[in-house]
Parts: sequence; structure tokens; C-alpha cells
Amino acid sequence: MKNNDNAYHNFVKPIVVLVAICFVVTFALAYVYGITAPIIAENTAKAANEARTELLADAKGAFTMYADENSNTDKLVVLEEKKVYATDCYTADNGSGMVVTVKSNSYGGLLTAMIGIDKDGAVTAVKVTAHSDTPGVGTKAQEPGHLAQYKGYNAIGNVEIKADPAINHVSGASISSGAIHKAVCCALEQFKANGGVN
Amino acid sequence: MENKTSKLSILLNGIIKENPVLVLLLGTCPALATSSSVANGIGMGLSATAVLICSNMVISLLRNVIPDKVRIPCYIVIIAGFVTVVQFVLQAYVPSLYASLGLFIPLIVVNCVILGRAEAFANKNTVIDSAFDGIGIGLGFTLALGAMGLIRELFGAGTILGFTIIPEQFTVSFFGLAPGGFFVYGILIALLNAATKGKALKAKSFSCGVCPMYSSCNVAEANEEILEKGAAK
Repeated sequence: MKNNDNAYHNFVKPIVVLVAICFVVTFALAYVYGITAPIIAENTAKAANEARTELLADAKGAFTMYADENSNTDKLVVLEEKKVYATDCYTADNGSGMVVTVKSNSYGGLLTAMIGIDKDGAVTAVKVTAHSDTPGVGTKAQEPGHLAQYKGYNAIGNVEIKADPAINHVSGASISSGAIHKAVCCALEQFKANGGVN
Repeated sequence: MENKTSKLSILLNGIIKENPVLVLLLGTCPALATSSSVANGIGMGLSATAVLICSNMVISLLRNVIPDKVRIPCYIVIIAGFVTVVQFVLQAYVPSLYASLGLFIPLIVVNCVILGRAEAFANKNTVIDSAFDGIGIGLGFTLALGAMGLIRELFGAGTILGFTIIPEQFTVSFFGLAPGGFFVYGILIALLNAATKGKALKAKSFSCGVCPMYSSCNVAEANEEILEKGAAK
């Protein structure tokens, strides 16, 4: 009898208590998540919209999704399979242009860039939103001074940055600047594929 | 910390005498990492306080139910639950703070201040006392982080809560970086020690009792034996 008691106290009770606590915590979290999830989703959408507005101020913050990773995926341009491809494309409601998000293969893996294009097919601004390149080396290609070259860029001279006379690459960061260049080209291809802005 | 202490003394205990950051030297990592500005320091402090009060109360409530063998996993699950709640709430209602604290919010789970109070206080005291201990220790944590944030933001960025006080050319960016954090931290500990004439750091009340490993630690037993022998002589 005493052995049974010991077994209960040593093994059964701790397990039961821990499992019970885990269940209670899980349900409490599920409940809280149910309340906060819609607000978090709204915040995320708002932040993404603000990022787009920054690239294309003329749109006045109103965008409509043209294609993203969940819908109309076949309409997204792939410049190089699994290396340079558009992940979403939003057009301005007032027809002032579009913002394309592109993933492009750089030195440290895929980087994510957002490119704003106006209604005439010229780049308004470029911004790198995520990357894993070397800070201080590859990131030189993400500095505003370098990216400013793309303002007004409207015809792809060459998808290889070194062969494109319109853009100077960053020496010491040629892979990173090349990746960003391809991302911009991909965005311009996306603009063409959309048939411009209606 | 025994039965008869008043609620007020439990509350004040945490702010100066047992200040978790400046006296007990717990929670150093979040204290250094998130005190680069006043807003971040106070935001981190209040988030940890919310978790600390809730976890202290729940752990105190369950102190007779939780078997000793699995108490640490139980505490961690409870604390992690509250931290996740805080994380959701911050993400939903204060996204700017959520973005600047980043990884340090989930890391509150393993903040030794919270686990330390669960072991040292909540599992030995009543729910109300534990709640007051949570408020006191939490305020101590918040004040320490706020003070560090104030000094670092003022000298590092020349601002307080974003308002410019010192023109940019006179700021020392060193204060905003990690070494500056250690520097300010050390000076604050020294100041508190000087102000209390060394009493805060020497106080016996926390020497062994607050350590999470106290109950299973041989040194503690050995110390008691020595003390008993000394008393017998």
C-alpha cells in the first residue's frame, strides 16, 4: 500500500499537475490570441501600407492587391527561377503607379526589396526591407546614396549591373548591388507584365 | 520577510533594499539591453512587472498543489503563458514598443528576476503578499531600468523621451552602446551602495534565501551547521 502511495506522489501527481497547468495555459492563450489576432493583422497590414506609401507617395496610402503569394501567383514575374522573383504586387487605387516586392539572391541569401514604380513605368524609390548580407560591406549597396540612382530608371539596360551604363555598382559590394539591380529589373518586368497601370 | 511584515514593507523592500537590478544583480541582460532609452527601459520594466505580479499570484495560489519535483517546469509554463499574453497585447496595442523591444519580450520568460521571486517568495507566502512583492520588485526593476535609460538617453542621444535636451554635437554615443550600459550600470550600483552606506549589499536577508537553488543547495546547509556550532560555543 505504501508503495502505491509513493508511486502516486512520485510519478502520477507531478504529471497530472503539470499537464493540467499546460492545458489551462494553452486555453487561456488561445482565448487571448482570439481577441488580439485581428488587431495584430490590421497593424501589420497598416505597416505594410505605410512602407508602400513611402515608396510611392502619390498613391496617398490607398493600394489594392494585384497579386501576392496566396492569390494570382501565376501573375508574378520570375526573372530567375528561385533566385529573382516578385512576391507581391500592389497597385495604387488612384492609378499613380504600383509597388512590387521582390526577393533576389544576394551574397548572404535572398534579400527582400520593395520597388515603387510610377504610372509611366519609371522607378520612384527602392528600399531593402530584409537581407542577410555582411553589415558594413554588402549593406553599402543598400545606402540611400546608391539606391537614389534608380529614381527615374525606366528601361532595363542590362540585368547585369556591370553591363548597365545607367547604374554604377558599388565596388566591394558588387554581388549585393547586382542583386538589388536584378530586383529592380524584375519589378520593371512586373510592370510590363501587368500592362502598366490602368 | 517573515510572517509579520507589513504589506508596505514588502512593497518598499523591492524598490531599494532588494532592488532586483541594483542590489540582487538579477535580470542584468534585459537591463543592459533595453535601457538605451527611457521609453524602452520603462516599457520593459512595466511588461516584466505585469508578468511578475500575475505569475507571483498564480504560483502562490498553486503553491500547495504543485509537487516539488516539477515545480520549476510548472513555474516556467505559467510564466511563459503570461509573457505570451503580454506579447500579444503589446503587439496589438503598442506596436512601436513591441518593435523596439523585439526579442526581449519573449526572453522575459527566462528573466531570473521572475523565476527568482517565484522560488524565493511566491511559493512560501500568501497570494496577497506575493502580489505586493511582485509590485515592489517590479517597480524596483522599472525604476532601475528607467534611471539607466534616462542617463543613457540623455548623454547618448541628447534627448529625454524623444525631446532634445542636449544639442547633437555634445552627445557621447558611447552611452547608447553596450559598453556605456555597463558603465552606467556600475555607477548606479556604486551610488546606491554609497547612499545606503553598504547596507543594501550586505543585508543578510537575501544572502542565501533568495537564491533559486537555496532549498537544494549544500552550501546553505553547511552554513547553517557552522552557525549552529558557533551559537553552541
